Amino acid sequence: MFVEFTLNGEKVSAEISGETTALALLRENFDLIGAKEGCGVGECGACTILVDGVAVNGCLYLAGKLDGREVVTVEGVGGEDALDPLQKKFMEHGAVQCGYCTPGMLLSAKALLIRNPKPTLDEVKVAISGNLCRCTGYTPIVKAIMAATEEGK
Amino acid sequence: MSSLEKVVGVDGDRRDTLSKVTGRERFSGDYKVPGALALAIARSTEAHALIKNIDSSKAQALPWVVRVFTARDVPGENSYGIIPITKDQPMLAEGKVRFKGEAVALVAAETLEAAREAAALIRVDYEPLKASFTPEEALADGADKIHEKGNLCFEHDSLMGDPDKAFAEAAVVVEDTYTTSSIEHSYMEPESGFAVMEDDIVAVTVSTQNPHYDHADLCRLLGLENDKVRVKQATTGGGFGGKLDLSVHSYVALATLLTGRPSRLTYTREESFAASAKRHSFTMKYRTAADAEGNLLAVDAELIADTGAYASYGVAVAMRAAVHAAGPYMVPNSRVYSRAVYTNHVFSGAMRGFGVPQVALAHESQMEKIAAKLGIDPIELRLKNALKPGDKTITGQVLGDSVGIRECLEKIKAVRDGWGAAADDPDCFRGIGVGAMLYGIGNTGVSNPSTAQIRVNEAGGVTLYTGCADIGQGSDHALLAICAETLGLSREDIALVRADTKLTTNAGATSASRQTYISGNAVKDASEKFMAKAIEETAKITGKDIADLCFTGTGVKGAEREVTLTEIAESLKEQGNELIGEGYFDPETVPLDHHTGQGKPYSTYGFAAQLTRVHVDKATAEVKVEKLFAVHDIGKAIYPQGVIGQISGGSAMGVGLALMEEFDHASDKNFDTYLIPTVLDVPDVEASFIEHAEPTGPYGAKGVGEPALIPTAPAIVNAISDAVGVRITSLPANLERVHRALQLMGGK
Amino acid sequence: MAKREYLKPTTLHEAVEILAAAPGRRIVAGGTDLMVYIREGKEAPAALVDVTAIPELNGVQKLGDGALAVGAAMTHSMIGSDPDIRAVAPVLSDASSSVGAVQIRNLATIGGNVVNGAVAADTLSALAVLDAAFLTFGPEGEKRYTIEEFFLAPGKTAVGVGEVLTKILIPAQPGASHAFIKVARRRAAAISRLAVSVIANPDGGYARIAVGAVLPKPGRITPAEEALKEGFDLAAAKAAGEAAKAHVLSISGERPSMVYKLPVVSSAVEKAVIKALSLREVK
Repeated sequence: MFVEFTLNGEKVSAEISGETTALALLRENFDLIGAKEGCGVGECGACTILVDGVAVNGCLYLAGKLDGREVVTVEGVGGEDALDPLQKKFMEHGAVQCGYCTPGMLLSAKALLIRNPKPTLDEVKVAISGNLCRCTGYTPIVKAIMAATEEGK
Repeated sequence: MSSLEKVVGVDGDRRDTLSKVTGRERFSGDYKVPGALALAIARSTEAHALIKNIDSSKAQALPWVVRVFTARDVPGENSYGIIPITKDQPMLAEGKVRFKGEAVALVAAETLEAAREAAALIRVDYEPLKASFTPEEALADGADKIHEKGNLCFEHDSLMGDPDKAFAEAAVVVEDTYTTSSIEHSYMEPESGFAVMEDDIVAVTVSTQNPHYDHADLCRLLGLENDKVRVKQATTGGGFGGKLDLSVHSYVALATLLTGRPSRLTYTREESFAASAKRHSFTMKYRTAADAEGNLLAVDAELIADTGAYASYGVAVAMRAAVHAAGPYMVPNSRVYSRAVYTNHVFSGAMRGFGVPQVALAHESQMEKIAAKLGIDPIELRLKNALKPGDKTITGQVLGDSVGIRECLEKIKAVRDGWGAAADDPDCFRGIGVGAMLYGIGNTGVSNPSTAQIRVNEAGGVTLYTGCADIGQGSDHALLAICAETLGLSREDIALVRADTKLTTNAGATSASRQTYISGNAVKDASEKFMAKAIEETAKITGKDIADLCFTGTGVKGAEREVTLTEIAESLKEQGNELIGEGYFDPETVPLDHHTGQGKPYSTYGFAAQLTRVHVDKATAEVKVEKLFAVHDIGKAIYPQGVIGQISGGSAMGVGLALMEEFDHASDKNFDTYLIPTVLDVPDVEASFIEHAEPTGPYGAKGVGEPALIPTAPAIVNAISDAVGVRITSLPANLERVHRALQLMGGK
Repeated sequence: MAKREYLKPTTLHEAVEILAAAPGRRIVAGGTDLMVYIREGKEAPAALVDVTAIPELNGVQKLGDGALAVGAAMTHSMIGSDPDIRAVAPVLSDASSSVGAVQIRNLATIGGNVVNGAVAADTLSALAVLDAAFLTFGPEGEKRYTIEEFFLAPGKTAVGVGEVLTKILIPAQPGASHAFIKVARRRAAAISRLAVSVIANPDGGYARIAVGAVLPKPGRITPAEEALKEGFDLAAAKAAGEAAKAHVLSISGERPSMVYKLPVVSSAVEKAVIKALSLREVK
């Protein structure tokens, strides 16, 4: 089947088969490798993408559902010359170690801030509770997100 | 660039984070590899069985399948393993399988779907053997031998003083048996890699902690000379010890060597769980003696570890556990007997701490029991016994100057006093607990050197060459700081070539918390030699006295003009020489005596203490770690944010070890049932460090990667015990165990 | 390997026709369970029929008597944040908010939770105490089921092949207070070890109590409700917990997992009642 959707602000289309996941489509057809497969069963959040501004697991999301929707991947959050405050704060606060969870973390945080620009600490934690990180212990990530919200205030 | 600015101790900007936050960083599985064959592995369905026949005809007949490989296709020696005396693991099972999930056959196909379909069609006839799933079963009479040599993989004895006499004379003796669980490393990036032929060289790009070791064992497996294999470390998504063993490397290398085509393999998470190393589960019988004032007199510990089907790092784990069995305390008499035993579980290997997190549960629980018996404050008891410079460890090693355990304990004591009482909550019990540790930096009682080089690059600047694999913890950033500090440059001035066996030399494994200390020293040495050589040559070129010349970073300056590095390099080249600084460092160790375990296993130790406050729900037995304060003696923080990051990350892993992680070999396939902490399960870690400079360390640095984890679980278990008045001796302290403790408490 | 079709009907009639047109076609909504089953090889549907674009399965309707009709394709995030549901059925809002983690709640639907009928599904105890009813649509038209009629056995419901669950009907609960407690091995993205839902209305003289993850199918625990009605006080809360424990024991027996669960059924039911009735502050 054929799907048309907006990807990081641009209209795109792709021919897919029924069981194709959004994760596979983005990585294989568009070489957007920011979203990763960490578990393939929706438990780790490394594949997190935004669909219509909402964070979902790309590994479970059927590509067929993308038709007509707006997708944002980490590549669309901000490039090297136009970093999002979240990306800057992740760099400043030591929120990045191995970096495998980072794109998913950023998108979960982004989804929260789109809806709620001034979240509480607890709201930040709930927002990233579907994203596993084994390196940082989360503390630097939470600090980075809080700092990014403060910058927006 | 300014030679006056300090680099060591300053965070700076890591050069990998921009590409990581923009999603552009390529891990092994993110590369496009044109023309690559897809690989899939047929894995054993039996835990212990003889292989009678492998029928791959159906797999071979599928369209798009290129070739099926079995053990008979392995051109070299089909046995590998990190420790030279225990290279007992085949890349493809030969004659028998020893764990469920072991690789039996490898399929190369044009598509991943075809490779996987073919792997599922491979039929293996097995003749089952009796499988052992605990060390006790494996050592029992009548157990089927897992390896020719029997089921005892390794044993280690240690004896100091006269423990029997000490126990007989002690005012207080406490004893208990402690157990810990098998743990999955759970790095977020599953194992992945690809291979291509570069002329007649098999070049493997892979997620790894250990590129130079990988290279050596790949040469062995493939039967190739050193210069016919190249291993390049790709950006690696965490390791924690789990990427020290070979994983996908040998399969992509074999397929590419034998087909001449590129090949790639990324484990699914299910495959990673089934086929990668685990943390050893331990059973530890402890007796500890003290006098009436609380001075420790003796420790007697019997440790037994499930090393699974292959040795991997089993020897290192059993030995290191024994060396650390008494914790960071002065104990004049000790007897430790430690064993690693083969079972038919997936192999256990290195995982953050190498057996020390396990023994820390035991020695820190014993300290609490002594404190309770004698009515001494638990931190005071630890302070009373804490090691000091000049004290002897249980291997008879006399400690040097950098021994910061007392200061760590003083600090947590002050923090505890400052926490005060938590608000009353009728629905929960609260408790505070302490954990303390020491950790030897580097490998145990063996030579484990690192090397590094500094050369001039085409731009006229310097390039640091290191074989050290940065697996996300930031060793690149730390080594660049040491290099920059030594050369009087900033990190940004230095180009880096890292972890590529064609271009770099062996820095040893990124394990044992050794890279900052050992590779850091090698980098410092390289930097110093580079400067010396540049100055010496400039003296020849200019005829000046060496004492009048100074190294500027871009060249060497005398009275009038600066001679550039390029000029110096060219001058040397004309003489058939090279402007290079070749660095080397091997920590001073003395091997442990086979009978007494005495020796000098490490040249320095890290120390730490952590304090936690937990809340135990009276109705449900759920435990929440509310607060966690950590203080680590790390010698010197080369990259302070990295140190804090290690402590925070290690502590979170410790929360998992304490409360929820328990790898069920029969049923855990993925993160849906094997649970690691989420952000909601860990406290905001208050991480701090003290800097008791290590005279042999680069700028005083030691290591922190593993120490970060070690005190956490004991601190949590001690806090639970403080809350409910009943000691939990088996990890994890899960809902069931804590609930049982609550019931026992009710019965009192 | 045959490529699977993805079909997305936009009306109920179209959905029923598509499902009937070929064997092995499987309804998908959020896909959070089905995609995992496909990965694990437990299911291999010939085609995936996405029902989330069907209007009847979306949105919350307020019915005349204060009851709600909740579309089966509503995600747990939508349910957790819907003000009408929060007003009528906070126990369901809380239960939906406890499912998985954010990304799963943004995909997984209440209909999926219900039709999969898993013993540990988080919303089922809440739906039991709400006395929810279920509407399906199939070749024979619309059917309505009570909760007792709907859940047949673990993983088995009354929804037939070719039928679509369309709505979950939630009666008004005037004057009642609600509580939901979930116990799991970690605080996010974890399957319930135990869930408790309580609705109590001392003035109306009724109480409804259900537990999840310990019984083969969702249903209220009448003896616990009777015990609570004795006084709606701390003593009655304790008695309700004990009665719930006895009830669970009589049905599920002394399995190994019950060593923990049985006593905790008692204490968690007591705690949920205390929380619902604000008998004292529960954090």
